[in-house]
Amino acid sequence: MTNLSISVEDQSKKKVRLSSSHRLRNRRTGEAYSFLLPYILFMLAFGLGPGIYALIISFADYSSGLPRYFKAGIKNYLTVFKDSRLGFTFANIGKFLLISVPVGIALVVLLALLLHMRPGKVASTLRTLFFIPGAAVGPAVVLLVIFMLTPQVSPFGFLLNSLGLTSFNAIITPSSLAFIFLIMGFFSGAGMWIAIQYGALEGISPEVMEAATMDGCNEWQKALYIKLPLIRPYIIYQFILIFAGNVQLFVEPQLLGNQTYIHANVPLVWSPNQLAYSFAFDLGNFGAAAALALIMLAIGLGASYLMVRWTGFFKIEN
Amino acid sequence: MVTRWFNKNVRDIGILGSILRWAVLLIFLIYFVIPILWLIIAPSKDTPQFSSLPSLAFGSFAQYITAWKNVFSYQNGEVFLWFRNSFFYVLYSLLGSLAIGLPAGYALAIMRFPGRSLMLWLTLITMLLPTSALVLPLFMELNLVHLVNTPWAVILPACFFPFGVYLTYIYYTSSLPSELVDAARVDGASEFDVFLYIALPLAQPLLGLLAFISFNANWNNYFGPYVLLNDDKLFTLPVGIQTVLGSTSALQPGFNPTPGAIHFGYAEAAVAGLIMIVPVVIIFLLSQRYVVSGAFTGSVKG
Amino acid sequence: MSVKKLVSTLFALAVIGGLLAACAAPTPTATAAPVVVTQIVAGTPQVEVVTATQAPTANPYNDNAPITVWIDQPRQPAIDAFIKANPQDASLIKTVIVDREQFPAKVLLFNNTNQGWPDVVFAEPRLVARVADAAHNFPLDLTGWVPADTIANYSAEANCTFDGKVYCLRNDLAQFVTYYNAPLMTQFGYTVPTTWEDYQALSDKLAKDHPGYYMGTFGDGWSVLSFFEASNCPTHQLVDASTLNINVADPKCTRAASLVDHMIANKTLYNTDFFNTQFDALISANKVLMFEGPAWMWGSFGGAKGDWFTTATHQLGVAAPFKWAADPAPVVAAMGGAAWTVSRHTVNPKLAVALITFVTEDKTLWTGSENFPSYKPIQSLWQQAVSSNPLFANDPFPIMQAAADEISPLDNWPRFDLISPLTQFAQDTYQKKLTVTANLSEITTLFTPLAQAEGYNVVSK
Repeated sequence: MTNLSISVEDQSKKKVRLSSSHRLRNRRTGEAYSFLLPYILFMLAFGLGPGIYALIISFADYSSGLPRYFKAGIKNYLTVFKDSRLGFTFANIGKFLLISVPVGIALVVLLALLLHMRPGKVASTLRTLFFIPGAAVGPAVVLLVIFMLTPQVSPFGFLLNSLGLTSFNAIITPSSLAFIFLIMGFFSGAGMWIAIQYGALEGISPEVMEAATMDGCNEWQKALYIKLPLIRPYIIYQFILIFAGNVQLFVEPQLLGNQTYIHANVPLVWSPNQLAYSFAFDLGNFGAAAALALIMLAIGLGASYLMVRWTGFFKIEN
Repeated sequence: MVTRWFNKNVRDIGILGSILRWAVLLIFLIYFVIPILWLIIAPSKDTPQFSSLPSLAFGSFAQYITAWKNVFSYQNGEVFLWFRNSFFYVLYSLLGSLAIGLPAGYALAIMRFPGRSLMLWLTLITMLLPTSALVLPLFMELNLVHLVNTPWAVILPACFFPFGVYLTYIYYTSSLPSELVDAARVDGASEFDVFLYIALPLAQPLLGLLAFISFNANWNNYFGPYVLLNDDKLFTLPVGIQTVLGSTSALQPGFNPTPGAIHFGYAEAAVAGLIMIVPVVIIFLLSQRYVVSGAFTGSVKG
Repeated sequence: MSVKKLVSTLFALAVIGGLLAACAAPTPTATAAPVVVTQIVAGTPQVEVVTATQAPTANPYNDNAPITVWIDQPRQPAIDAFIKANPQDASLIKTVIVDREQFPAKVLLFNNTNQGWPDVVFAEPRLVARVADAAHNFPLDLTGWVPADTIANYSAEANCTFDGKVYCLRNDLAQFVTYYNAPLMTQFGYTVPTTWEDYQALSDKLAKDHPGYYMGTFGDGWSVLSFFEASNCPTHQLVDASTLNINVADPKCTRAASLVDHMIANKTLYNTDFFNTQFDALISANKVLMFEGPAWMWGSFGGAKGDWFTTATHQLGVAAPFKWAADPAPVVAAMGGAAWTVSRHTVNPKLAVALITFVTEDKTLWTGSENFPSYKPIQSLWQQAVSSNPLFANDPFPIMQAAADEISPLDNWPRFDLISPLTQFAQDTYQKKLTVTANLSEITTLFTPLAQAEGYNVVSK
């Protein structure tokens, strides 16, 4: 890799760049947008376009099965607010976020740091093993839930029984669901994030680490005071994405609530995303689904805004 | 020799620290690995054996082979077709999302231009929009251009990969030295030159990371393909397998069976799960080369 | 970035979004005015009144148009058989294997684009109920297409009849019968009960003489229905298409509840669903004396693919389902049983109807089937499959045939899922350590908002 040292001449060249002309700035803008153009097009087509359409149909009346645009006023929003499941789903997702986001990030970072203390074949193998569950979806997850959480047939039976959980129905209860989804989610999602954070740790320059060693730091101090701050942007990235993903929790509660396979005490609609799906596909009320989605978006956006502003995530570091 | 072992394993961590470290790693190893081990063993059991044998005991090889045969003989090996579909959709999505996302992430990271902040916010917004609300608009949009029930209905939306753009953004903000870029700019290089000759070659580790994240997300994606594809010949693996499970008695042994139907039980469901897992593992191992040691080296200085 | 730029960007986006919306949306046809269309078809005058905003199928029917058939994988031989018997139609039939739980959702998507519906769908009556409302507006009324006496020859066709319209033809039935472990019954010296009251009395005897043996399970929606629907308890009674009666205080509910409570108390009822691994292990270990199960469940015990009995000869006894002493005849719950429905948008209803009548009536197809056919003239064929099967301790056919006509009217489900809330009810009862009788009101609490969300007027009488 190229040697990256700063020379004195570069400093003066920096000055030259800072006083560039108006025309150069416009050229840069044009160039920037040529880089962004395909992305903007796709974002409009598959991100914002549908989002704006969702906004429009949130004011459409779907009672006859087809949309009558702008005829519903705020009726759809009222439908959402008056639905008895709204408070329930929001409370659920709130509880879920509260435990899953901090725990998820903390454990991922912890494992990445622990692995990185001794980088090498063993760390590499462990990282692969942590990652494999992430590929288990759909039928595999259903099977695993049935068989890992039924003490009589589970490899973890001994552990479950010693915790006093002697049956499947004792483990999956309405009050334990947030925790169960955390376990399921971490099982499949953690490996990828551990790999990303480990990759970030690998990127820390050896000179920095050597300097720390020479200063007398042991591995634990290095992890806490050097590595951790250096991977901050990746941790923030993880926070935002895990938050965004968990707010939209859908697959796990849908799998567990589907009484065809898993006869568990799980309500059909547990998360807000499921409620939106229910409005859309059980009742045919796409307008209410869109209204709820926009409400969720507003909340998620609010939280992300706070995070981004607080951490200066979007500033270019120069 | 003891000194060597000490230096390798205990130095800078301490004996207690070492034990603690290994304890934590071992606990999580068990948590991640045991269920997968169970899944690998599962096809060897027939349905009663799932309750009668100890959980991690192996059943029989004959049953293992029968289970695999049953899955692959479904609808004359339709599983192969789904596998092939999944592979190509994911490949094209990856290429598309890289072609679109790399320049975009780079521009957002390195260039100053009006609207930069807005773009980052819009990217975030699109990631926060719940999928359930986007389904209908997406469906109608694609129907407008007659792409529903075609592979493009799956590939094109997947090319929009905000997650990847963000990762590119972070990667370039934290590991592309501005001095390098500035020097090139001052030398008269256009932004495009800088991207092509400096940023892209440095992006090898990023490419590896993006490749397996994109692969993982698209390989397992169920919702999009399910809504946008009706013809079972076009299905991806997750949708096809879900259809099999939903249309046979796989996960609810005994429910509404018919004569002549291929037996689908827990063992076959486990095989279906394994079919999904194996390629991801292979891709992960392949992209390890780019993501591991030496990959990001030297880039993060803080 | 400046406010002006922000506003103009958002405006541009809004315009694009609006364009997308305008182009993508189908023009809604006249809303409330009903359109009366008179069609004369195949010698049978049929008046079709179409309301709502769907474009009526004004296209003339085309007997040579292709049809799309949505089935599950086990139904493929049925379609193949039809094609073999009608080779001239081979090119017209396209089959697609689907997961039918998603069928109502797909109908909604197709409605929005005004195209793409399948012509024939294999689905349970409860799913047909879901697509029969105004928003889905999917099924074709078969009364104009299938002769009345043919329709009368289907058992349990009431589940396919909505407001007088016949929206599907039943394929198979899943009526409950009493299964018992014959050697165990002989060994203990008991006689098989015929009434619920005798069943309860026997449970006391079993608990006293042989603790640790079970006579049933109560732990999920299906097992709840096996007791409550079989008592005609109005937890989800459709008074008419838009009124739902939920009355758990009705004596028909409380009698079932006290029976269940009694048997939970004397520990003869297990607490899971039928297919739970723990319960199935008990069956395999010969610890379950008897329980009510659907007609097709015999396959799980020790049939061709069954796994519950370790030795599969003459172990499975089948007896009539229980009746309450006060009732004139048994009322029987059902667990599944599917049907065939035709889309009202189809352009070749003749072929569609020919297909569904064939697959439900053809003798060769149904010989040896594990499912109990709904079409009465061929029910005796099923007897051949079971009567000589060494699994059974006695001939199950007469019992199953009789039970087929005793299916409760409550098997006609409303448009929301019953199983998930009822599973929650069963498990909550255990969790809160209440009796079923004391917790009955939870059913009302769970069902009412679901019913109201579907537009039902909920009453209690």
